[in-house]
Amino acid sequence: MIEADYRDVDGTRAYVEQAGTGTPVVCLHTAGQSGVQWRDTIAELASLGYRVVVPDLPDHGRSEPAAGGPISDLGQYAAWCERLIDEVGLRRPFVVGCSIGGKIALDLAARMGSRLAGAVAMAAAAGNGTVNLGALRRELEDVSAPSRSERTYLGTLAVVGSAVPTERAELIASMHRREDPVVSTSDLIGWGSHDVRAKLAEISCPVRVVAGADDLWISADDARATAASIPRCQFTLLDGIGHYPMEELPDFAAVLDGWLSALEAPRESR
Amino acid sequence: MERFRIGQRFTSASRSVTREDLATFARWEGLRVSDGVAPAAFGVILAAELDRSEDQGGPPYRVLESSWSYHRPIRVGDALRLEVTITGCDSADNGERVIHRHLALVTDGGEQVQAGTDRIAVSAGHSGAPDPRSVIGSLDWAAALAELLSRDARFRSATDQWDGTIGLRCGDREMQLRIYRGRVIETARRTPLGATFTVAASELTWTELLTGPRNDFMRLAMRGRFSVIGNGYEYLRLAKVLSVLVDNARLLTEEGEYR
Repeated sequence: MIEADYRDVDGTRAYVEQAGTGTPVVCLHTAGQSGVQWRDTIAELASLGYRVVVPDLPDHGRSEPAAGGPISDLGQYAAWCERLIDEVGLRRPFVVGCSIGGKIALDLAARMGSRLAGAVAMAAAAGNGTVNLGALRRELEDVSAPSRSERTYLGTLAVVGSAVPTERAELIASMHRREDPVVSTSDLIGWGSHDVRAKLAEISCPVRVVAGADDLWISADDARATAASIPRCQFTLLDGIGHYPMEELPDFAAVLDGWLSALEAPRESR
Repeated sequence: MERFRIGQRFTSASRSVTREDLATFARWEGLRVSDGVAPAAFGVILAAELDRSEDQGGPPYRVLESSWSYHRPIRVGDALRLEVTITGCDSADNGERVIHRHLALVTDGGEQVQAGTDRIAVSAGHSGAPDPRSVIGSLDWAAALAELLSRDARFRSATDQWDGTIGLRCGDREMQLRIYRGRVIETARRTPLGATFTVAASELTWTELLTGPRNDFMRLAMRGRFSVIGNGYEYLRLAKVLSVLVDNARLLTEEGEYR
């Protein structure tokens, strides 16, 4: 069963779903989206022996806005997640994130080190994401952001992998259209300006970096370079998958369980 | 009779580059060759050798012009094949067909080492022309596209409140679609006020977009294969319209019949 609750975290009333008991895992969504991206994962992962915690980041989904307005610093999200982990009483959880969630997972791994059991960073590299920051800042004004809904729909379809059936890809894109454009754009500014490369060598928990071969938002080479800079890190390239592995891969919970089990094993080879 | 069509592809057999090849080329050109690395121009000669469409029953042709890019040196031991794509067609003043081609020298591993474009003249008596409606960027193509768009409810609905002109530039050819309240009211090389914005790409990119397995406009745009000139706001505003336009242009290429 999935339990839903509102928690006060760092001044924001945040929506948090939890399921299961066992090893805690925090799952982080992508830019502009919400925990609904993990709807196919949460119950099944819980049944595999995990306590799964899925928050909506501030201003996303059912969570209230952050006190200072939309957040464009992924470090601020990472600090918020650290407080969330304390708030719900998780001891040495795994953190799994995708896109900005993946970058936040890397940031948390650097901040929390051995206080995390490990991190899985999907669809994320440690450097500044390749976006046009000037154009994104202009689009913070609604008058400068035409057809945002269609662009999100078509842009999502463009970065879903070739192995994903059309009907599923269209469902993913339709769900992504629910975003708040200003929040989404702020997230993307964070994606383009947050750089955790200098911290990678100090990460003391095990990490897996995952890239989709069809992802246009990051290059597999950048993700591989990120993995190579982290002391205990494994790298996975997913053929036919794009920017949203947890929504694109059928039976993602089992795949994630395999990755988390490998992180728990001592001294994995790269 | 050979019938050309836009998007037609020809791939040669693979050919390994030997030391003897480089020695022969160097003697011919009066060049010195060292370290098993071929002089840049060697690729052009190799491409000409691999481009044996005449040997395979194709019509005789002569090259009118070519442009060539060098991505990395060719080395002894490289196994290379030539990939040729037909990207356009028009007629010369003397009645010859002028076929536009993209050529690429590719390793067995799929790495492109050199590539270029050319235009070849083929006697009209030896070759069938593609359906003019399938020649991207031609007047007939634009007129046929306008007709398809006028029948597409998605296009009519999405442009119902729009008044402007979309330019579509394929290589050095541009067509403009003058749109008013859900209808394409004119197609022309130039419209009186010009294009609101123009979407531009090489002939190869347009050919890949319109003959590939799916509508990849957004993916190609994200990869920087298309550029936009003019009003960027209106370009973004018409994201759906451009997707629908490409859907219809792809139908034209599928429907192409050849004389």
